[in-house]
Amino acid sequence: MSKKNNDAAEKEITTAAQADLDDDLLDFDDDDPLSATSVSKKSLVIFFLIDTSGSMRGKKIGELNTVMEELIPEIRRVGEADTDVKVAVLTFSTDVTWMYSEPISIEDFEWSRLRADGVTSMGEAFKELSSRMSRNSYLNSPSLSFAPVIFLMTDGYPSDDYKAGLEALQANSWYKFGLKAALGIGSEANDDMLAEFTGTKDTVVHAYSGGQLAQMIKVVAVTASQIGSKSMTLSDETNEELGAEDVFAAKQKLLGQQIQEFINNQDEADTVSFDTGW
Amino acid sequence: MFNAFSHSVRGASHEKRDLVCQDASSCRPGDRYAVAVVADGHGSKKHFRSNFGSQFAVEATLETIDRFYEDADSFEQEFPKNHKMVIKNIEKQIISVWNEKVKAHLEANPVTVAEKKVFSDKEFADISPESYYGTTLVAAVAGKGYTFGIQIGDGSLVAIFEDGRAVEPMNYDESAPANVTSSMCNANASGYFNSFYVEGRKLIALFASTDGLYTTFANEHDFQDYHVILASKLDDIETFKQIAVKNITKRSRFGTEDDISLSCVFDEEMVKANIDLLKETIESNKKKAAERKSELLSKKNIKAAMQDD
Repeated sequence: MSKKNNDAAEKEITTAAQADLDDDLLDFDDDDPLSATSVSKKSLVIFFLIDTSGSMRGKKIGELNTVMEELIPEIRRVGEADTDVKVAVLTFSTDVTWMYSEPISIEDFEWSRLRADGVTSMGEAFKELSSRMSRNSYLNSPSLSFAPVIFLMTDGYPSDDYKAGLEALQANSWYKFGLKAALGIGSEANDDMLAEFTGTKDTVVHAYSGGQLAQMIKVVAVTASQIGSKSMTLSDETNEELGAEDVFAAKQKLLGQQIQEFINNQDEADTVSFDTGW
Repeated sequence: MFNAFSHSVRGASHEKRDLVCQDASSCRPGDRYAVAVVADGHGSKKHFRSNFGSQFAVEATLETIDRFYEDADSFEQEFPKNHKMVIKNIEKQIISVWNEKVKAHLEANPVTVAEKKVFSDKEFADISPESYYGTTLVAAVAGKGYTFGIQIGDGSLVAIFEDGRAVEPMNYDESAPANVTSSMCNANASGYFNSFYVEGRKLIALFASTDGLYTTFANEHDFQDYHVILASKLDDIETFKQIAVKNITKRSRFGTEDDISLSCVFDEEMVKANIDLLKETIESNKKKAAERKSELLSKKNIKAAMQDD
């Protein structure tokens, strides 16, 4: 070491030694010039993929708009504890359209009422989602800590080659590790196709009436957000560390269990006729 | 005169689980050169001594840079001519010194029964001894007429030159997946370093930080703007220390709860001469941030085909 720097080292301002923090250090309420760039908590993105094709016109899209407006404050509460929740909404009919040009913090998010028209370009929506689920695109927030929640809502069968879109999506790691749920609206929705999207039937739900639609959207979205933002680096039973695949499997299983539990309780409490809802 | 700062805080999640801080940081101020260095021990199961590994990485870096500067006149003359080769040699030397430190520590402190019992025999046999100490490393060096940095694994370098703007000068080599897998404990670790070298620009400050800091920001702009605010406080180092330590503690507590290390080197004269410029930049950044948010919220219903891919 050179002498000058040896001497300078003695004047070293601080080392990495972990000093005990003074009590006043933890008083964060006073002026902090660095607060202009706020502290972001661990963040999670919820993607809603919503069918706005012509068959959704009328009561279905009207009810969906109302539920989503009501849902925003509920998701906001999920994030209040220790997660910054961001929302991205992709609608698909003849065109594939993002509600905002990037995921929006739930604090700033305002629902833009949707209109229904056109055909069901679900495959194109899958491709678009896949292209945006990237660190270079919609998942570029430094504070992003969790795999996304992806919630598909549709009332019918795709009018394009959805399998090609699904293949593109299935090659995306964010999709692989994301928490996936799907809601079939009305009797035309195909549960098998929705299960292809989610990878399991346990997270596919069905709504046959406006009341059920409201319940299902809220339960699935809120439960998925809660589970999605859960830190699961250690397994409770074994104290062993979980890898990314284990975390994904555990979360998807938990979501499936909670959704099925809700549906079972729901069946006992309130059986709704298939055809009277709409 | 170059001055320097470094500090590490233990993450709130580590406090809750009664784990030691896996980060380490240090700095070396000086007339001819200054070094700021941070390291982030991996902390996961098989890297059970990574708190030592990060400390060794920091020490190895300071020792190596000092060694290269032993004949400072000669180094300053030769380095700009062959900076690529010299930086490669610095990286190799740091890895070599780190490995020596790891080896010495392991010899003096063999793996204990308690450390080993969480693995099956086969699991344990599959872990290389260097992996016990796995860590990242980010180092920033300010010299006379040049600035350079090296990095292995995740973490950030942010530079502020004479124009007062924050830039991230590291060009990540796509073939070296620095932000994904690389570590001081990789076989052939020196091949995984990224580096930058800048000549002919006047440095105000250069910051190195572990990813615990980066992950407390909602976006890249905020992260860069934060460093301009930090730089604007460097004219009074005692106040700076208070502000910086308090803020990274707050970020760890209310952000991602990870360990955070922040370290920097700065040119005292350049800071003093450019305080007004830095303050103007801060105001301009605030305006731009407000404009970005307003624009984002006003743009609705964007057809996918209209977006740039």
